Amino acid sequence: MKILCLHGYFKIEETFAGECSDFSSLFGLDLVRVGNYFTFKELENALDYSIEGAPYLDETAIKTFAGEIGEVFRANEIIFNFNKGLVEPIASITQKVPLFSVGNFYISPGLILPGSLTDEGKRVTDYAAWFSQDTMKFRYSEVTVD
Amino acid sequence: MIQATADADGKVFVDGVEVPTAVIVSAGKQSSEGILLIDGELALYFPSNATDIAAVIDNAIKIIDDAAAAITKTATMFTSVATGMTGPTTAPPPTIGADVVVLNSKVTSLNQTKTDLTELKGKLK
Repeated sequence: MKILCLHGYFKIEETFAGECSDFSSLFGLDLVRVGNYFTFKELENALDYSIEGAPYLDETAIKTFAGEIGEVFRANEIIFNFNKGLVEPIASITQKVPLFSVGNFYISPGLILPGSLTDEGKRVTDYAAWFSQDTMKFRYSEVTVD
Repeated sequence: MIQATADADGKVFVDGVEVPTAVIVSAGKQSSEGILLIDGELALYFPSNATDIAAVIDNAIKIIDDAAAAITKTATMFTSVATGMTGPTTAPPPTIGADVVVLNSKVTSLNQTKTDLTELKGKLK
């Protein structure tokens, strides 16, 4: 199962049938299909544009912007906090995330909350995670910090 | 592409929220309805002329109605006058019948134009 975090917005793709359903059951996080991918239910109605001063999901947009939903998230400096089920300003995330490089990938306990701080004080903004139900572990092939 | 409005001060609104960075693409500043195109951070507002054009068409149709009614009344009047000119020393002009036919044909043309304008108004988007 592939989980893409794009500036705090999530696109999830099944490798095998039923993975999303199993993931939902395991972690208590509802996933919905949006076009040709899945995302968290709370992000189902995310728009590909924002109007400065108007509501955008749980926040008020700070930019008028249109583009990919992840780009709208970046422009408005917001991320989806799957622990709370809410969209929040990225600056509100204070937790740290340990990243361990293992050959061609990284490992980290659990799914990385976007906006989490690395040891160098940089924020994780994007990543590609691979979840294995067999091992219950996440591998990260790409991690972008800002 | 989003439906938007603009006021006479040049401010653009989407669902009542002002879009401060929107640039109005038009010659002047008047209240209008239109569309807002956003690409990245660029926001362009294009006013729609459809409501203005519809108003002009409505006025034209009204003028046509008034003109057709006036011409019909004129033709009817001439017919009545000609019918009444039966005295020994009076006779209607020999062309009056043909003239009335011409007047009535003009009314027919005006009504066709009115039909065409009504159809055009219906096609405005």
